[in-house]
Amino acid sequence: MLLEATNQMSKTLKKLAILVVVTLAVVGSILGGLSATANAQSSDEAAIKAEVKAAARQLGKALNTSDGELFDTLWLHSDKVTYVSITQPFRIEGWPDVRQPFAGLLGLPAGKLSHVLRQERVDMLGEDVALHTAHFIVRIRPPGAATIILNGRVSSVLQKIDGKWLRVHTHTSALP
Amino acid sequence: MKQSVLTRTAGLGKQIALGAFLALLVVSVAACGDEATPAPLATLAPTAIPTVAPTIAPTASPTATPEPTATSITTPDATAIPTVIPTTIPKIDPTPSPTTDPTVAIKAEVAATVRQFGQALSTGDTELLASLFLQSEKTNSFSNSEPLRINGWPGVEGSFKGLLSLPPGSVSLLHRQGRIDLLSDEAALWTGHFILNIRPPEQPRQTVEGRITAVLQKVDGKWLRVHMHTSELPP
Repeated sequence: MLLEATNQMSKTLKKLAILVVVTLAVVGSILGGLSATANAQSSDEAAIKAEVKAAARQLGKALNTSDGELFDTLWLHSDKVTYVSITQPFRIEGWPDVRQPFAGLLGLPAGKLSHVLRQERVDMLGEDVALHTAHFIVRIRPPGAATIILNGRVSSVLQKIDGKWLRVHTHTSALP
Repeated sequence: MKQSVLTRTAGLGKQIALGAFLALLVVSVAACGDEATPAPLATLAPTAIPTVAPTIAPTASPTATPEPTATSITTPDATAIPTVIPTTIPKIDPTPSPTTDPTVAIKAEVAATVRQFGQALSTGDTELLASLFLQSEKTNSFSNSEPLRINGWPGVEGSFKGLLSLPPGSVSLLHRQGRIDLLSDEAALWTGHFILNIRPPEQPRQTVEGRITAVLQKVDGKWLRVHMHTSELPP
């Protein structure tokens, strides 16, 4: 009688053990899947942010090399584009006008301007809109004139259009 | 048994048919009654209505004044078409047709949120101010009074503590030349100029003029600030 009871208990314990193992396996696989998805999403976002950062840095490259053509490819050529400049009081609206304040800098001989970004940060505002913020130091060495140094902050909003990150707004300001 | 059920069903069918017929009859009679009711003649033939009191000399006895009653309205003869006195049609100003551009409504939402920022500052309403920002590490700002970028909501909130601690009415924020650009269904850009007047108790008034960039994101149906860049006008 006792032996029979023990056998019965043993069978029940075996069943419980199997149930626990199966449950753990199922939960583990679900958690593993979720973690992998989260990692993939995180990795995707990191890749997108890297794209945005690269696009934002191209502006410095265009200015440093006086490359007007490259500069032009970095902006959305539209009335939607706006620029709040470190040197001009009012907001500048629309692509042709936004281009104008940079004409002087782009007209300098290559190597006469150095644009460096510090403390860059990219924040995504959905899949196709990004905010790039940073501090900048611009050194301008006009031929035959004293060096000008500008220390400031820059906020840029970029929008992905036809697969390319383009600037739609930039606000630059001097350090207070 | 089966036959009894069939008989009952047939009886029920007859009753339903009879009920439907009666209902139709009632509806038809009612409809005929409506048609028979004379239309309000006053709207058709204003000349058929007798002249009413105001035109009668004030000395006339009130009892002499013919009361406009339903019986005094004559039914127009089919051949006698009432003369319609030409009345001046009131000029109706053309109203703009309802816009189908959905961006107009979205921009209005963004504009309303932007205005609330000034309201929060002028009333010293910390809760309202907090409700206008995304309370996240993602939120950041460049202030016209601090050199470095302020990262995260607690830091951004802290940058307004000085203004919010002033008595209500000490701060006024005016926006000028505001512009909204929609970047997507869930992201918007507001840019403008501002005039900030600060009147601290027993201290000289301060006025700051500058430019603002505010980036807003729609989160759970609400437009929230995720970034601000304020800068004073360049010299």
